[in-house]
Amino acid sequence: MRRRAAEVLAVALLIAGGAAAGSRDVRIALMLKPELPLEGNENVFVGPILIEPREGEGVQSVDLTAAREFEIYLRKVLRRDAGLKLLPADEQLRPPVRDLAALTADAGFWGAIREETGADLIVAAAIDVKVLDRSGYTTEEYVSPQDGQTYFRQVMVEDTGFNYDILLVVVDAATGEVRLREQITDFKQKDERKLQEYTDMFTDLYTLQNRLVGVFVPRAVQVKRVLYSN
Amino acid sequence: MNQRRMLVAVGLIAFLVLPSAMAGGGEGSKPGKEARAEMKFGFQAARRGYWQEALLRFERANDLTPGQARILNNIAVAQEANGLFEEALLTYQTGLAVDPRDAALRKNLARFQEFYAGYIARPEDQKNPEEKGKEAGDAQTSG
Repeated sequence: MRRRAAEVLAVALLIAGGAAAGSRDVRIALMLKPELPLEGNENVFVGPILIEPREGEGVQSVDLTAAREFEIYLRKVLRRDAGLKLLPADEQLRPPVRDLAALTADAGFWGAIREETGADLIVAAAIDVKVLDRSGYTTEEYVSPQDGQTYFRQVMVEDTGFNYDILLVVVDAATGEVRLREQITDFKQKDERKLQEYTDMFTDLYTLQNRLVGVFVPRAVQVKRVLYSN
Repeated sequence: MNQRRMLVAVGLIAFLVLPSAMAGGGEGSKPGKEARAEMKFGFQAARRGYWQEALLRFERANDLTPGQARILNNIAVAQEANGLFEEALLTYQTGLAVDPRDAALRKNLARFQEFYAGYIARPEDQKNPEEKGKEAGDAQTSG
């Protein structure tokens, strides 16, 4: 009787084992279409880069530096990573208003840029930089490896750096129509002692770079998935 | 008494395991064998990066033995690889409705949602991808 039961069990397990599907991790390059389909031969003008107005606060030096640095950074990314044909910057460009939302409604402004530069597309932005300085002490739990007891200890937590909030618009220079509006936020960690140094504000900002490039050119994102083999 | 217990245990295992094992491909049946062959072929194609071929094979496997979570999982992954993100979401959801415990499906869906939120959903219309999947499903059924 016991032998018979063992035989039935063995058969049941064999069938179940045979039916169980094997699985493997596979890597896939997921292709992302650009948000703005381009022909590739467009003349692109970069500007103006505005400072997002804040109520009750004037323009600070960090804002001016950020706007200037962002323009340099944007031109570099669009030329190098997106392979766009950029027109020379216009130092004399003076927008009639400092609010990008209002400016997008002014078709005459974009038309004037087109007349002067021959641009097909205009990439403009408004940038808001906040300097975060939130360092302080917090209490955290830890288990002592010596006696296994749980204790509480004070740890220094630093949340210091630059917080970017960027509104990017791409305008069709011929019609003044906004073809794309993209809100991008990113954070750059910076040592508390170096918060007053506004150099390299936009280096190693992968989220920002990824989003900017993704507006104009296709990208491949590597992901991992589980696939059944049979 | 012990023998009886053992028989009951064996019977219980057979009752629990066999139906799902048989459902997992209809092993003995001809469509089941063909579906397995298509799955294997699709898997090999996928590993070589031929994702369109893989998707075709997985869909054939699904036609032969419909409603199997593991096949739906592979279809969803192949749809993702072919850039059919909305369809992939629907297929993951269908697969999980068939077998909510399927670990591969659950893991893949979680990873897909993370990818979707990071790269596909725009911040201004950042809805839950499941809502978008429902919309896509409505569009498909009404179309």
